[in-house]
Amino acid sequence: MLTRTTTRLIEGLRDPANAEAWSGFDARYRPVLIAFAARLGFSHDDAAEIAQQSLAEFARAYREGRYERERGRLSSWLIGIARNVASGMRRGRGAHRVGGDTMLGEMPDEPELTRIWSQERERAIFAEAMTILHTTSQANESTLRAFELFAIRGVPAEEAAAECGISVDAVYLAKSRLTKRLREIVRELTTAYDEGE
Amino acid sequence: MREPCPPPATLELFALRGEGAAAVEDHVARCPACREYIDDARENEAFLGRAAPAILEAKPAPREPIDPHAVEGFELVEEISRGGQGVVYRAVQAATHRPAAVKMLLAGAFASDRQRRRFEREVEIAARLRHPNVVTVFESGQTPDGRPFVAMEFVNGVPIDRYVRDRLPEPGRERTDAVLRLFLAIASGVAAAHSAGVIHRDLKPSNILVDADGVPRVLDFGLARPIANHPEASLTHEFAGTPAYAAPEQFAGDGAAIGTATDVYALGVMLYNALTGRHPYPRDGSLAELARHAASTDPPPPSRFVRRLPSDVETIVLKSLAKDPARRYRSAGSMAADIGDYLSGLPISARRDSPAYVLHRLAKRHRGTAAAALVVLLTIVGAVVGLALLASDLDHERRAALDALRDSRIHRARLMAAAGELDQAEELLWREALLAGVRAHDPDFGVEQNALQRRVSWGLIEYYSRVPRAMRVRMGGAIDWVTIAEDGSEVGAGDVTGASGVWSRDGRLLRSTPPLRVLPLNNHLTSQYSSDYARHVRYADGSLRIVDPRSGATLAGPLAIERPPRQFWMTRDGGYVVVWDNDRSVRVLDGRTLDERRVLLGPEAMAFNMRLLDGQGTLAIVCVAPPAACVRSWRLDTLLEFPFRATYPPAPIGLDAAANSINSLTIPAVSADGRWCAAGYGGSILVWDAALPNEPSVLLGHSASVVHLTFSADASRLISVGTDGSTCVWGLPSRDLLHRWSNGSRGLAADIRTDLGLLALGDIRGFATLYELGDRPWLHAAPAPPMGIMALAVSRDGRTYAWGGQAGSITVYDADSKRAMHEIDAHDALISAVCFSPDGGTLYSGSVDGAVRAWNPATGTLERTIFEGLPAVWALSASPDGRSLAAGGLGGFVCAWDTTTWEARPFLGIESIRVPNLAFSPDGALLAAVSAHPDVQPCVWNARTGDPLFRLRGHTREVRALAFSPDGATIATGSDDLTIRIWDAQTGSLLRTITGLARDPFELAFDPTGRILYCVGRSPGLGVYDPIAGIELASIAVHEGLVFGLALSPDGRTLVTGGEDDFIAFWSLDHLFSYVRGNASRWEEQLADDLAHDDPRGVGTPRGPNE
Repeated sequence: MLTRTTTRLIEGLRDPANAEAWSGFDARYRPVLIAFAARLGFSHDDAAEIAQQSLAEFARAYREGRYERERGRLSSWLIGIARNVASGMRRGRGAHRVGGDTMLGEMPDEPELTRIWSQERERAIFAEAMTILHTTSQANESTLRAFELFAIRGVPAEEAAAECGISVDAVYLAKSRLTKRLREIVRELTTAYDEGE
Repeated sequence: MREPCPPPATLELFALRGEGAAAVEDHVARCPACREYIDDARENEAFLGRAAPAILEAKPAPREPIDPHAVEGFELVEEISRGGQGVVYRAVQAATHRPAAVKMLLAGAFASDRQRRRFEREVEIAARLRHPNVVTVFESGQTPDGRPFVAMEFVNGVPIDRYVRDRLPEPGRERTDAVLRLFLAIASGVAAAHSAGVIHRDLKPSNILVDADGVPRVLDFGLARPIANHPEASLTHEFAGTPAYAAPEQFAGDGAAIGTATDVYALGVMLYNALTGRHPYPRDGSLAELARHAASTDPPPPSRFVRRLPSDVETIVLKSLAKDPARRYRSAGSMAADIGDYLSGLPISARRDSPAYVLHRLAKRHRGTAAAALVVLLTIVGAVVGLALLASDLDHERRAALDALRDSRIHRARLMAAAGELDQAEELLWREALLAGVRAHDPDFGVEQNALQRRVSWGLIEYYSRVPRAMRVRMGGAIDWVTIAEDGSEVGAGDVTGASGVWSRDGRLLRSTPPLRVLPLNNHLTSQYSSDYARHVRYADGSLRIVDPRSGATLAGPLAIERPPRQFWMTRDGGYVVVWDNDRSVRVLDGRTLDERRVLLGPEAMAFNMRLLDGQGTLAIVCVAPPAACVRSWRLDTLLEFPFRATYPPAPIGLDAAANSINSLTIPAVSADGRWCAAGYGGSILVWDAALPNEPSVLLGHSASVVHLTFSADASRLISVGTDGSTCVWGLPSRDLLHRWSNGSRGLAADIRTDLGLLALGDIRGFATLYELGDRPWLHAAPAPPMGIMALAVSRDGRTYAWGGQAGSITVYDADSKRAMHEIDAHDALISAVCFSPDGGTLYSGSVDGAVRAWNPATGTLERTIFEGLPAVWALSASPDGRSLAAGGLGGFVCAWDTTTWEARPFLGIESIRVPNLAFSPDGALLAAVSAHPDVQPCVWNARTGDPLFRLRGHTREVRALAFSPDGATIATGSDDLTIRIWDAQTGSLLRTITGLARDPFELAFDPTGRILYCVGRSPGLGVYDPIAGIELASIAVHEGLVFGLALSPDGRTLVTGGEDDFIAFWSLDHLFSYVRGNASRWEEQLADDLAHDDPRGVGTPRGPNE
């Protein structure tokens, strides 16, 4: 298994001393929270702040036993927390707003928030999958590089071939094989994330 | 026998695009392996469509350990990207704590010294570029191991293609316009480089980052050529650029043909892509195929892919993509001009030959424009039509069209400013001002002979009425320090090149010192110099020295310090050197001998962030005081620590608490008296009072990280600056947000003088800016009587004002001492009219109680009651010769008295409900009165005989406002039909109509030149009009309630308004104009080259007077 299931991560959180569980949870959801807040129109710094506060709030709630699995999905919980933190920050800004500055818009509704969340979660999975591909793949450096240039960055095959010193056909082959592998990793990760969310 | 499978490339192209169908199809039908390959390819493609953008956006893991100190002056934090040119790191500039990006080029990137020199020269030019849409280069140089690097502004953004795909609205007009707005900004940035003589040569999406605010910035100017010429880095012989965005002349290897139009082509490719989602021609083939396409394949018209794409947009795109560079836009500036014109609904130059076309565009524009602009333009279009029909004078036609263009640009800039887009508006206005030949320092500024000049001058005046920016000048590099002179009359600043200057309040350079040229660029941090630049502290070869920056001679040291310090400073007086060591300890050395004076913190304190606050004479350090982070601070003179330690409670979850919050506490500051301490915490500010060292308050005012904090010397204010370019001024101890505005750029240095109400700010773009604090400093407010005033007048010498209102009392006010001299209990009811006799010796008052009285304004005593028992009096006017006094009021009465005998002259009367206003002409020959009845037109009499002469026919509703022009030639009237009409005073014929007023006009006043007409009324603003051109010039809001009174000092420099509000506003127009003057030289400098080189319409020379 590439990664621990969400259920196992969450169970680990019961023990405040389980640093590994906390950092695993943090690593998994902080990027999603940051991207989520950024999509709501916050600057990167504010989004990072919202993610920090949301994780802290989640930890507090979890330790106080306020999070019960049967009461809802983990994602709904996190979305709810992040939304509250974000609204709080907006209100705070509003109180200190002066002059004709434009305000951030209204908060999107529930289904829209869920949609944004799952998009950002998917993006986080893609990114993590790519890291895993890099660390686990048997392919050599130039094949990986050709894959990245051609399949991910959209550099024309001829250019990628020239840069990596391999043939154009090898570039196409790299794309075919490594994309397939990347898809498998994404599938596994998605299962691990879903289980428990 | 088994036939060979087609190669992967063939299979994939077949799978995805059906290419090579016949031969491949046959094989695939028989070969299961190839079928699987094809299925995979299709699934892969669908998957990559979603995954690739997410992967690209994610931060790549660092691939090799970073040496954080590889580049002197910067701390490298993490790898951002790696490519053919080298590696880019996120970094922090050690001396300023500015985030930066450091691009490290490949070792040995240059084939020869000549190439290196050219690279250095180009980077130097690029470093001088300052444009909001171009990434600022800080410096360049070489690492100790010989790798060239460039350090630049860090942009947290995404490439333009991804931004367009993910963040813009769905296809449609809105999206098209959003794309064009982006490209307008990009093309303006590239244009700035072009006019500085730099060509990019490698514009492509990854070189254009769009930040969270949607602002695009172009990267890597000056980098493309040396890389392209490097034999190993260059993949393709003479080829420079990225194939998919390269122009035909780049493929042709024709170095001489590569120019500004080459960049235009790349912009065209990206614009095409952004609009249509496709490339102008297939980009997947070999380099040779790409070259062939670039040279000969005509791009399909974008309208084929985008429904209802405006034809102008298509023209712009296709002109940018012309194969022949000579047929493209000459430079990015011309491209930007066309995009800008399209966006504001104006004809673009790309197709300017047909007058019918120009008219089509102009006419189209009307439909969506505000009524005022509409009428102005209709008039102009009328002129254009007429001229076009006559076709006799092409020059005239062109000029009329140009006038319309410029008028509408000024109008657009004003709308932008009103909408809060201040930076763009300001540049647009100055551009037009300089094109029109406006000279802010000339005495006739604002009342110029030339109508276009008046229009743009008032656009600027209106602009600065919103922005209290008293002065702005520009230096060569990011500003390192600023200071305000004791009396506030001068501002001094120094930049990171070591140059310094002193400017007067009107932006004139008084004296300056040149940049220091002795040391390599990356040592030019003035915080390592004494203020006289005689001493400089350097670290090199494992030791610290004090050197003479001009001769390079060692004055003190060397002091061996094995590992390079994190940072070190010299105090301005040269007395101390503060060293933040590699092990995080902090010590103070003697600035002359380098002897150790005191160790402030040992390594165990983990000093994490520190600041030397020379202006306050303090030093503040963020460090660890387990289990929390704290800010400790010292007095610089005694090196004694202030007793209180400002602590911040641990952040929550999982991590080591102190280290976590210490990470977040930045830019510590302490006030000179040690009472207050502050630090940045992301986008918020923590402020501690020494009395409550554990309970900081949190101040929210910025939308992004706070990067600068300074206390005023008297500790009554705290200034904070955010990466979002906003500046906040907070009051202490209240911690109230007193002022907030956008500086347009990130501040690095500040000086605040609360006693003078001045704040100087130096920023990353090299601007030193002086702001006036306080609410509209150009305004003086005198208290109004309860419930406000109805009538206002000024004496002919301009020294005495009088007003009266609801309460029946009159205030006589001395303008010089700004004091009320008398409060006269004058009438039993509301005072509706006041006026002075021409010699100023008598003040007349009229009231709804039906009385008219005369007062001595010097003593405040009654001279006589002229009449009692009239219907309610609403208007008074004294004749210029002082012999007559006229009154008008309820029931439409108008009467006059001889002021020597006080005999009543014949009653005139105009059968109206009420006469709200009347006036004698300047020569005293005419008396005019207006009527508050829609069907009764204003009337003009012979003032001596009382014979009616004519009526002013045209207004459709009641008329309340009336004024004669100073030369007596015209009369202006203002009506509730929301027009001001200008009449010939001799004949009563209508000369012109100003429409689209924002307010029912109550009072009008001419400037002494007769070229400006001020208006107040139902809405709280002051309207400024051009009575000669017949247009609105500006609208400036000052009041909250209705405005009934308007008076202009005889010299035209002080405007006084009052009404329902509890204050009378004294406007110093000179003060307001001084803002324009204080900002002028900087724009003149910045735009001079631009306007000279990039004015496709050839309108760079001002026109002569047009009246």
